[in-house]
Amino acid sequence: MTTQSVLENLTAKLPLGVCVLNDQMEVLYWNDFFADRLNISSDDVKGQNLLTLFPNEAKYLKKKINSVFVLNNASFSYWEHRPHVFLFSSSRPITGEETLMYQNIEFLPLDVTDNKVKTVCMIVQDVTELASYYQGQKELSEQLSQEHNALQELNRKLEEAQNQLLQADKMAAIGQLAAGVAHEINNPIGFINSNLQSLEDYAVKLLKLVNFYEKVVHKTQNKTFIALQKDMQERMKYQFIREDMPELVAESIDGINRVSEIVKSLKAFSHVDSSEWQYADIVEGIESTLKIANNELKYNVEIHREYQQQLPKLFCQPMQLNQVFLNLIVNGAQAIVDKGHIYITVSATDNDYQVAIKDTGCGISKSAMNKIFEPFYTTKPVGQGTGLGLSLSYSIVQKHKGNLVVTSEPNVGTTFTVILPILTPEQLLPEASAPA
Amino acid sequence: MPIPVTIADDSMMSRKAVRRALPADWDIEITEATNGKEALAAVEAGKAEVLFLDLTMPELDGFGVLRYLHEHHAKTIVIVISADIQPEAKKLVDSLGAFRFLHKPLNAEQLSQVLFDVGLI
Amino acid sequence: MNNALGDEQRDALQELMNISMGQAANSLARLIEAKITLSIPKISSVTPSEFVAMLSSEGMWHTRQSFLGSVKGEVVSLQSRLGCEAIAELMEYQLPLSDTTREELLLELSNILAGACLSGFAEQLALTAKLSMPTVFDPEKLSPDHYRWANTLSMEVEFKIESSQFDSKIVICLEEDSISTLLNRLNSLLE
Repeated sequence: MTTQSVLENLTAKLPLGVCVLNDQMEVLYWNDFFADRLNISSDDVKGQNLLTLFPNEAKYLKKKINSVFVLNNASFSYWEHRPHVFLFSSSRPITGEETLMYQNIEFLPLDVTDNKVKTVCMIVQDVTELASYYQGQKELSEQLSQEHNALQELNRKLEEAQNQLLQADKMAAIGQLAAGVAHEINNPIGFINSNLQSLEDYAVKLLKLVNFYEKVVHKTQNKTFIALQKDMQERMKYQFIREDMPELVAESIDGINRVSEIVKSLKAFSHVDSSEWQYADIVEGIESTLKIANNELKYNVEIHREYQQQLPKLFCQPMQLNQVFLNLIVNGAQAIVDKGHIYITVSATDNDYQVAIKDTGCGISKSAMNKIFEPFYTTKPVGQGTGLGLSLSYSIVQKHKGNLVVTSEPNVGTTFTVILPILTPEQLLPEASAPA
Repeated sequence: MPIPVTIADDSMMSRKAVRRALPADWDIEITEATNGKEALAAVEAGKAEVLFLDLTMPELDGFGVLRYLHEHHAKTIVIVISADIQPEAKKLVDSLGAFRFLHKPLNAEQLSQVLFDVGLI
Repeated sequence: MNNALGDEQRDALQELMNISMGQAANSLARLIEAKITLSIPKISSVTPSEFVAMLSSEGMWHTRQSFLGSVKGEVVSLQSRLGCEAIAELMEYQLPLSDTTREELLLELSNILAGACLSGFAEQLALTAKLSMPTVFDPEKLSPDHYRWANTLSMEVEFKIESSQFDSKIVICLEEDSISTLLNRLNSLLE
C-alpha cells in the first residue's frame, strides 16, 4: 500500500468523526464515522451543505465554523454545554442508559494560505463513556452532600436533645436539694409558727394586765404613785411598745406564713407531695383555675377563650396541671402593666393536646429567655415571686412527657404553649404497670 | 543629499526591524526616537522628512504626535507602524493625515511598496 | 544554561506580545464589533507562589488551556464577572446567562484571545504551539507546594472592552525547558 492509501484508510476508520468543509459550508469529505451513521458515503455527500444536512443545529454550527474562518483559530464544543450537536445514537445501544451520543467537537483551520482559511476540519469525539461516568460521579456527589446535610441536621437535633437533658438533669438535682431543704426547714417553721401564735396571745394578755394596773393606780388617787407610774412608763417608752408590739408579732406571723408557702412550693416542685393520676377534662381544670386566679385578673385583664369542641379526656395529674395553668395565667396577668388581654386556646390532635396562653404584656427580654425556667429566677420585686413558678411548671409538664414552649416579643407579649402528648397510663407510668 | 528619516518606537527591537526593512540602497540619514516627545523634537530639528511612527509610546503617544503634526507640520510624511490594528485605530490615524497604516510585524516588501507609492524611492 | 532575561530580550518579548495582542484584539473586535483597549504587556519570571498570588483575584473567572509544539506551556485566562452579560450580548448569546452558557462563553472568549495571542507570538518567532481545549478551573485549589518547577516565564496582557466593564487577562506561561528554546530564537532575531 502507498502512504496515500494508508492515510486514506486510516482517516476513514478513525474512531473519530472527521469532516472537511469549505467556506460555503459544503462538505468536501467525511469519514466512516459520519458515513455509517447517516448512511451517506463520502462520495455522495461531496458538495452537500452541512447546514441543510443538520438543520436543527445549523445556527450553532454556522457560528462556530464561521469563527474559525474569520479568526483562523480553532474552536471547541463541549458535551457539558452542547451534549448532542449531532443527533447520533449512543455507542452503547444495548447496555447503556444513554440514548444519544455525547460529543466533544473541535473545529480546526485546515488549509490556510496567506492567513486566509480555505477549509475547516471538524473532529467529533464520542465521549458518552466519559460523560456517563462524570454524570454518575456528579449524582453520587449530590447524594453524598444530601446525606451529609441529613447528618448535620441529626447532629443539631442531638445537640438540642443533649441540652434538654442537661436542663432536665439540673432540674432534678435542684429538686432533690429543694426536697431536702424543705424537709429540714419544715420543723422549725412549725414551732416558730406556733410560738408566734402563743406570743401574740401572751402579748394581748400582758397589755390588758398593764391596762388594769394603770386603772388601779389611778383609783388610789395617790399622786406619788401616779407620778412614779408615769415616770416609769415614759422611761420604758411604754406608749410606743404598746402600739408596736402587736404589729411586730403580726408581721412575724405573716413572714413565717410566707416562708411556709415557699416550702410548700418547693415540696411540690420536687414532687414530694404526690398527686393522683387520673383521666380529666383539661378545659374544666382551666376554668376552675381561672376562678382561683380571679383576684389577680378581674381589674385589668380581659380573658378570651377559644376551646376546641369535643376534646378527649387526658390521663394526667389534674391538680398539678392546674398549678401549671395557674402559674402561666398569673404570670401573664402580672406582665400586663395597665390593661390587657389573655387569650387561652385549647386544641387537640390525635397525638397531643395544646394549651396556649398568650398575653399582651411586657414580654421577655432575650437575655432573660434562657433563664426563665431556672429555679429561683425571677424579675418580680422581692417578696412577690419565689422564682419557682415556671421551673415547677416545667417539671410538671416534663413529668407528663410534654413540652413547655415560650415565644415572646418585648412590649408585644408572650405566649406559653403547653404541649401534652395523649398517652395511655402504661406509657406514662411504666413502673406502676410493671408487675411488682 | 540623504533624506532625513526618523524612526519613533519605544521598542528597540521594532526600531531595528524598521531599519532592517528599509531598502539598502536608499540614501537616508536615520534618527531614532523612543517616545512621542523625542519624535516631535526630531521633526522640529528638521530630521524627519519621513517619520515611521508607532502608536503606543510613553510620554506622548502616536496619536498625539499625529495631532500635533496635523496642525503644524503638514509636510512631514508619516507612516504609522502599529501593533494595534483594530479598525478604530486605522480610522483615527487616517483622519489625522497619516500617509499609510502598516501592521506589525513589519513586512519589508510591503514597506518598499509603500515607499514607492509615496514617491520616495 | 542561563534563562535570565536581559533588557534587550525583555524589550523584544514585550514588543512581540504587543503585536500578537494587537492581532488578538483585532480578532475579538471584528467578532463583537467593539473597540478593545490593550495594556502594556508584563513580562516576568515568576516562582510558584508568585504564580498562585497572580491568579488569586476576586471577581474573576479562570480558564486554562495547554499548548504543545516546539514550546510547551499553558495559557491561563482571567475574566471579570462584571460586564460578562454585555459581552454575551455582543457575542449573540441568549440572555440571561445560565451557568452552562456562561461557561461556554468564557471558554469561547478565552480560546479566541489565547489562540490569537499565542499564534501571533509563535509565528513571529517561527515556533509552533498548538492549543488544546480550554477548561474552567478554580485557582483556589492551587497550592504552590505542588509544583515541580522553580520558575516560569509569564507574559501577561490585559484586554478591556470599552463599551462594557468587561476585563480579561491572558497569561502565557512557558515550561522551564521551553524558555531556553524561546531565548535562543529571540537572540537570533536580535542579531
